[in-house]
Parts: sequence; structure tokens; C-alpha cells
Amino acid sequence: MNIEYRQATQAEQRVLWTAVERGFGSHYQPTDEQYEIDIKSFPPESAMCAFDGDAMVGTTAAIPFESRVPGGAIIKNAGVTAVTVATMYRRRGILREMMGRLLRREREKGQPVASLWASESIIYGRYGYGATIQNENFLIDTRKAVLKHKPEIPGKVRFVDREEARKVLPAAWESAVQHHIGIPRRRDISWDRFIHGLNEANGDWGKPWVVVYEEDGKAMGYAKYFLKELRVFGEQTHGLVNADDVVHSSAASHAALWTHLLNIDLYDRLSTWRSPADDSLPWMLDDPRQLQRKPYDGVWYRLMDVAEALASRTYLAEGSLVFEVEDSFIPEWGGRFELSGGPDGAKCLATIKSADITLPTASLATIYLGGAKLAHLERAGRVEENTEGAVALADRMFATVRAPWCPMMF
Amino acid sequence: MAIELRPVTDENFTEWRRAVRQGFGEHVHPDDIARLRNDRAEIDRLVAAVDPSSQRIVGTGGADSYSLTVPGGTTVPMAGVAYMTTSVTHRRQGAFSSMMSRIHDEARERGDVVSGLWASQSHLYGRFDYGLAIGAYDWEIDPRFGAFAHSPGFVPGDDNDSDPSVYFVSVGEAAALLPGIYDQMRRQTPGAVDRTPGRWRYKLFDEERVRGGASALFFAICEERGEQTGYVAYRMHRRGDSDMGTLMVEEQVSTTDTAYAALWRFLLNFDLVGRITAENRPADDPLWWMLSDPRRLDRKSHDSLWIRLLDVSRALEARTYGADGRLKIGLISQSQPAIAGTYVLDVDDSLGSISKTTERPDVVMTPGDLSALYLGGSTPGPLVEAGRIDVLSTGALAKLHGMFATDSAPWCAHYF
Repeated sequence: MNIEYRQATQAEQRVLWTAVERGFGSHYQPTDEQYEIDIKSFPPESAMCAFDGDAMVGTTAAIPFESRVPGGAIIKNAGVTAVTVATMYRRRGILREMMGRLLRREREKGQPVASLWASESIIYGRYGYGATIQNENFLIDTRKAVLKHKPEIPGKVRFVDREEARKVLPAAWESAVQHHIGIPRRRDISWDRFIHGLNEANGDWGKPWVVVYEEDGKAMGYAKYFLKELRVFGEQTHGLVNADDVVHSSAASHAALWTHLLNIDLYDRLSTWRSPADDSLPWMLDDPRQLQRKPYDGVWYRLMDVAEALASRTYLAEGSLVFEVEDSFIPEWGGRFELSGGPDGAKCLATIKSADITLPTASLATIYLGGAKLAHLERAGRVEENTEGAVALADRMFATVRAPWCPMMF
Repeated sequence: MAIELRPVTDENFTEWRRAVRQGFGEHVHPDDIARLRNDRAEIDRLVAAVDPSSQRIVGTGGADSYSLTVPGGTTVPMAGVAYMTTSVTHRRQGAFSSMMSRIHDEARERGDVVSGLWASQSHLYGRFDYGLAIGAYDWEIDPRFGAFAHSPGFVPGDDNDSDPSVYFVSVGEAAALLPGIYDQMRRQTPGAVDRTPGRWRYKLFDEERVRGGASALFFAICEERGEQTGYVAYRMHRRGDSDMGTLMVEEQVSTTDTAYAALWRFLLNFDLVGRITAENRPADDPLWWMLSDPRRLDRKSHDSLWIRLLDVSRALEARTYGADGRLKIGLISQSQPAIAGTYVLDVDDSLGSISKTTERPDVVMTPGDLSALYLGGSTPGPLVEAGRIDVLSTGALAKLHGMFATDSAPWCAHYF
């Protein structure tokens, strides 16, 4: 069988979206307005697809993101999405081929890393991705959620409609980008999609609500949530709150948005997904056990240019280490790299010195933003220490004061 | 009339024990009174709150003497607070607070550096300056999705003399072998406590009434190079021969990464098991990072050990630190004015020394918050965001984070 790999064409845009949606189990039947937004979300040339004759049988795409790394630098980051292979074309190496071509193309554009949300956690390790940003899912009975500890909250929370949201949310998002490690900047088309979604009922959850937190007229955070009431004998007995986004950029905005979410009359079962791995909500509650927390792998990173990626960030402790990076998927991206870094900056260059640490590229991606420790991976057999103390030094260097976070699914 | 605190003696021990169990909503089996008295309780560390008008015990409490491993591997004496109840008939009369004060005072007199407890409810102990020092996870996994993508140090299936082997042992053999393995683990694990022979008898007590409908305990040992390096104790719960049952891990302990991997491979290899459950797994347990499909491991977080610093200086000098430097930590406490003040932590070559100062602190917190950071199980960033820790000088948060960071997360395998 002869499978051809190439980007999609303008004429194949609807075919591309149909294939992607089908891969995730949905029929693609957009309204005209939705279709306009979809085809702008990623242009056909950002895709890398597989064709059997005229049939599109596999899809991938990459969106050019910019996201912040420890120390504050904004790096280019290929946001991988729309990964599907048609059911009848499984186990023929199609994903492997598409992923290899996609990654090589994206690195040529000067992007040192790629990242994605995994539909299943078994897939991407083999292509050199590591689970870099962990999230948590929260569930709480808000009647039992007393906020005992709170920072001062100088600003206010207010509801916004679609038009207002389009005006003020981008500033709130950008301040979150600047406050956290790992949040991609949002492009206009992404806001168009977000705002369009505010008009759409989410099944029987209805349309979402949006509140924004502001200080001196400056938007510092927002929450987007869905409500659903539960009725028994016609009376509302409970209500559910599903908070899709709780995007904050300071202690005050975090506390203000949580105060709002925990105080919605009639709706007393609150759930979130993609809350930060080290969210401070448990430390605010009088009775932290009321908050049920389940960790969940969020964003997986793939290092494409190890030297540039490592040199872009700063390090909590000063140190020098030589890494032997094994890249079994794209071997020429591996090699031996000497990293010298500290709080003020870093250098990372190819070297012939002997390696202190030998590890697969996925393990280095996993610790890249400070969301996991190398000592932890070492115990799972994912790292080899060649120089005593090197793993501990790496952990002191790569540590960040807060866990990385990405509240945006892509 | 004011509640009186009285010592517990052989005379009132039975009444005291009944009151404890009643506080937790259970009737007590007569054998359990003797079992607690002989194998676990230190009678001179127990306290009873008595209603003077009825002469009945209406509150109970006490402590067991533990040795707690802190980061760096030193141990400190810990009062393991337990048995805390107040009768529902005598709420809000100060019995609980006065028992806690008595237990803390006596612990300090004995030279305990910290006290620690497992909370029955998580809102109770913050007011007594306890901080949540260890977080843990409850697990569930279907072993049919338990394939490994990574494992440390050895290639499973390869025949090599140094490879770990796993074998079943009887309860008698387990009683002889487990304590040595556990003791090795607890000496190298921050947050772990010692288990005396009595505590082992208490732990291995396995009459039908404590099994919750599941099987008696099974035991397997891991051996490498002639040394026992790990064990697992588990129960089976199955309805009939063809039921895909549940394997309940009661305790899994290992002293090497390879033994850990071998024991979990053993557990995930069971036929006729549709579900494996394990409670109180360490926050940095490596299984998630070993599985081919890690999301199949369902994890729920819960709070484990709460710690209170009884002697701040001795506690802080006992552990090692992740970064050298100097940090002035201001402690504010309404409940313990004696320990309030500003402590200078000087770390040199990872060893800390403590002095007091009247200078302006770099960070300010309560003793409970410092307790939460003490074993390296919590990072300070979220506590700052929650408004619990104030950062007064530039760079102090990064310093605090780096100093208190540890290589591995603390774990207390022993529930008390």
C-alpha cells in the first residue's frame, strides 16, 4: 500500500475537519459561522496528513504558539493537535510517519519545543514526549467549603457578556501568561472561537457564564463556568457548577474567583478540570479534605532543539551538567549537551565531555518546566546517573517555585 | 462543672478504651482491650477527661512514642497523638483543648521534638498549630492495563542472578521477615516512623472480624542478591471462582527501586483480578512513570500525617536542607506565644543551625505552616498564594523553596 504524506490544500479544508472530528468520534456538521472559525483555527498548510489515493486517512497539525518558560522568556512552541488515524488504517506506522514529518517541519520553522494534550496517555511517549504539565481535577460540595485563609482582595468580580468578554478577557489572559509558566498566548482566532462558544449550550448544561476579576480597571483573571440544576418533584435540590476556566494571575484574583465560585446560590457541587497541580485552594480551606483532588496529565512536551530549549530558561540553583540525551525517534536531535545555568540565565552547547546524566529525551522534556523531579523519574528507570549527585543537582537547578500550568486545551 | 483531666491506669483502662471506640462510633471487642494494652498503648501517655459530677470518662486522648525520620535521615522523637475523642454529650466544654495541651506539655517534658497525628477530620488540628506535612494517594488500577514501559535497573524476564525474585511466605515467616525490611525503609524515608514488636503484632492481627469480608492476609517477599528488599501484604475479595475480584494492597514496602518494580510487576500480573486498590501511596511513588498507559492508574489525593513542631530549633536543626544560605523566619502564634519570634536559619553544606534575632524577618508564617513545610511534602508557593505565608524580602520565596526542598517526598506508611 502506498500512503502519501503531505499538508492539506485549501480545497481539502472541509475534508480535513471531517476527518479530525470523526477521529474523535463526532460528525462534522458545523454552522457557517462555526465553519469560518474552524478553518481559520489552523490553515491547511499547518496540517500534515496521510492519504491513500484521494482519501485522507490520517491527520495532524501544529499551531504556532508562544509560551513562557522559567525566568520569563517567551519561546516558540509548536502546539500539536488534530492527531487522528482512520480506524481501518491502524498499525501501519501512519502516525509515526506523520509525527516524524510534522516535528521535523516544525523545528525547521525555528521552534525549539512541541507540545500537546494527549487523548490517551499511552501514545506519545514513544515519540519522545514527556508529561510536563500535570493538572488536577477538583470536586467539592461548596456548602462545606469555608475559606479560612485568604489574601487581601483589592479588586472586584463582575459578570461580562460576550462583547464585554471579547474586550477584557485578552488582557486577563495575557496577565496569566506573564504570571505562570506554560500558558500559551492566545491568538485572535482563538478568542473568536472562545467567544463563539459562549453562545453555545453545552448539552444540557446550557450556555456558560463568565466573570472577570479587575483591579483599578485592569482585568487580572476570569472564570467561565456552566450550571445545571437537579430537580426532584419539581424542586431544585442541588445544582452543579462545572468550572471550565479559573484563570488567575495573582493571589488576589485566584481568591476572588474561588470566592465567587464557592458562593453561587442553589449550585453546590463544583467541579473543575485542569486546575494547577499546586493550586492553593486546599491551603485556603478550613477543611481541606472536603476538596477531592485527582491528578491528571495535562500538557506533554517534546524537545526538538535541546540546546535552545534549555538555554531559554533560567535555573533556581547555579550549576553545570552534561546530559547525554537519547532520542530514539529522531536520533540526530539527541546528543551530548553541556548546560551551565543559574537564576540569571543559561548556556547550553553540544559537547564531547563525558555525561553526568544519561536520559531519553522524554525525561528531559518532563522536567523542563519544573513540574517533575528527575529523582522521581530515576526511580522509574527513566534516568541514569553517571556522576554521583548529578540528579540531585539537576533537581535543584530545574526546580521552580510554582508548578507549570496550562488552562487551555488545544 | 469543669471537666477534670485524669491519668489512665489499669483501673480505668477498660472504660477509657470503650470511650475511645465509642467516640469513633464502634463497639469494642473484649480482646481488643487487652491487645491495645499489651501491644500498643503506653499507659502513662494516656489521658482521660472526666465529668466530675458523674465520674464518667467523657474525653480520651494520648500519644504513642515514635521515632520520626526527617530529611537527611536523622530521626527525632515524636509524640504520635491518637485516641482523641470527646463524648457527644460533652461538646464545647474545653475537654479536647485541655487534653491536647496536656499531651503537648508532657511530650515536651519527655523531650519530644515534634508531635504528629492522622486526622479523623481535616479541619480539627490547624487551630493547634498542626500543619499538613504529608500528602498521599489512594490508587485503583485494572491490572489488565498494567504493562510497564520503563522499570529501573533490570530487564524483566532476563535471567540474571542479581535480579529480584518474589516469593510467597506464610504469616509466621512474614512476622519474622517484614520488620527488618520495614525498619530499613523507614530509616531511609523522611516522614516514616518506627514499628516496635508490639506494633507489629497489632498490625498483623488478622481475625475474621477485621477483614471486612475479604480474605486473610497474603504475603510476598522480594529478594535480591540474598537480601530481602521488599514485601507486599494484600487481601483478596472475590465472589465465587469466576469473579474478577479485587486485590487490596494492605501494605507495600521496598528498600530498593528494583524491589519496588518487581513487587508491582508481581501485583499487576495476577489473573482473575479486575481491580487492584492501594491506600496511602507516597506522593512521589514511581509507578505512574513506569506504566505504558499511566492514565489507567486512578489516583485520589488525601492528607496523611499532620505535624506540630514542639521544639522549633531542635526540629529545624535535625533535618538537612536543599540549599545553603541564611533565611530569617518569623513565627507568629497566638496559641504558643513562647515559640513566637524570628528564627535565623543558617544552612552550610546542607546542615542547618538556628539562632533567634530581633531583626526583620524575610518570611512570616505560623508554626503550623512551618510544620507543613518541615518534611518537604509541601512547597511554600501555594501557601503564599493562600495568604498564609508573607514574603517580606525579595527572593525570599525562592530561597525558602530551595532550602526546604527534598529529593523525595515524605511518606508515613504507618497509620496510627
